[in-house]
Amino acid sequence: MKGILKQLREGIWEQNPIMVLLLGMCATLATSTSVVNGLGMGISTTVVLICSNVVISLLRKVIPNQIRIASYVVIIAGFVSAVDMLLQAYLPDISNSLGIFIPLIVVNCIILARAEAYASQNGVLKSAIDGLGMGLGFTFTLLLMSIIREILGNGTLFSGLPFELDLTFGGKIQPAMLMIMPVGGFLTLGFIIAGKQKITMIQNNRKRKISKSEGGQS
Amino acid sequence: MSNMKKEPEKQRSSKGRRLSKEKHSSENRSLSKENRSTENRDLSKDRRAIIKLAVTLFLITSITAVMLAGVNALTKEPIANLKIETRNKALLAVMPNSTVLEDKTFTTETLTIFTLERPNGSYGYCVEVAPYGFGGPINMIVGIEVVMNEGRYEKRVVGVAITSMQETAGLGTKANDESFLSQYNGLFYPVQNEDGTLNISPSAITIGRGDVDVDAITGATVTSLAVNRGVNTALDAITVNAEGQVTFDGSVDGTSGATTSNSEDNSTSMYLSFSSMDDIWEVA
Repeated sequence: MKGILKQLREGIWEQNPIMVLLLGMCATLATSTSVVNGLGMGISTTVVLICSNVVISLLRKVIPNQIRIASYVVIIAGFVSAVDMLLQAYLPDISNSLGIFIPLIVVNCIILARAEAYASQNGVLKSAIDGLGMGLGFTFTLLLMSIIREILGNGTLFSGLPFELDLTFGGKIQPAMLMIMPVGGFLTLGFIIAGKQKITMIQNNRKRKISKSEGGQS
Repeated sequence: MSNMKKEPEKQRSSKGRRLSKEKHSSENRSLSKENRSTENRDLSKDRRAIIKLAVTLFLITSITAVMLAGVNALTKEPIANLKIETRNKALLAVMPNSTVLEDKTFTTETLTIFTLERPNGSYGYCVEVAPYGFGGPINMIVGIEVVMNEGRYEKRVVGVAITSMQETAGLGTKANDESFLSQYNGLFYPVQNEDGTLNISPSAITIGRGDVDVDAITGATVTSLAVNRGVNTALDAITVNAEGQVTFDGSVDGTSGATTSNSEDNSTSMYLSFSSMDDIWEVA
């Protein structure tokens, strides 16, 4: 149980796919323009990631080494197409607004990277949890970015959901359009990564101090 | 399962042996017949390994294909239903409380014109066009009515709705906002000039900033232009003569907005779908 929590923590914070591993940048910058899009992309990617990790982990002894990348891509593409069709059939709104980005999950490096680096070497349960952790980390960062970008760039929050908030006071404040353009994506990403680094540094310093003071006492 | 576990080991060890042999044989390439025969054996082994790889990949691909076929069969119907539902919803959003007259639908390769009976008994026309935007075709429906104003007929935009598009999320998708689309409501195109002759110049609703009919969306110029082109195309697809008779012009290209073929061809394609003269009706 502790191991599972630690693994999830790794995915969400220590090894966060966006903030630390810098994977899947293209999808991140493109879909973090609004909370609904970010969340939709995050959840879809998480589902695909868990499924592909489980299947690749199951097949890790069957797939010959020489054709492993080709096999991974086929499996991932299969799941993405399935998710795409299911979204179109049952959640058409999300499917409409995510548009081209769902098929692009196929080439999202997070999924291939986890398949290659983790699922192909670990058991089914561990791989599933790794997929969940990484997916949650991806979703969490997308959510963070899209909240910032939607508020600053569009003047709304949760636009498209029933509890939509209008923060422009009825159009009195002109939102900074820059923030929902690609430039804004890069800016937000930069600041978020810097913030994450700062927090990690503070945590490490504190740990060092504690271990030092403990060492002094003994 | 235990067999499978052993397989990679076997492979690896045979590979190792093969490598060492290859080294050996290349060193003494022309020396003995024995070496040559082992080389042959290696080749056949290689071939077997390659075939094994191909078969494995083929199996993985086929299983994936079967799975996808299953999902496709499962979702095909809901997706098709949803498409019709969205279309009907869009038609009714453009012209509320109307009934779609399915048998008076006019279709060309690039556009579809639906005829609707409106609550007051008059006819409305919904033109489905797909101008090319920034990320692909923008499927949209333009509602048009033909009304008499100061003794002259005019084609008037009742409403515009977008059914699907692949524009940039957060920028191009703003084309679907009411604040943008509602700018088209009430814009019109006179059928006759002031002297009574037919106005044959193509519709030109202007878009941009400043002294124009429609304000474009900031940061989504290509999308705005595409939507505008779609509305102009839709207006051109409906032809009205001096007596207010409505015909549909099949020569208008709903994907680009350009008129493709000459008008004679189109009139025939037009009458193919409207067999009797009764089908060309007067505007009430």
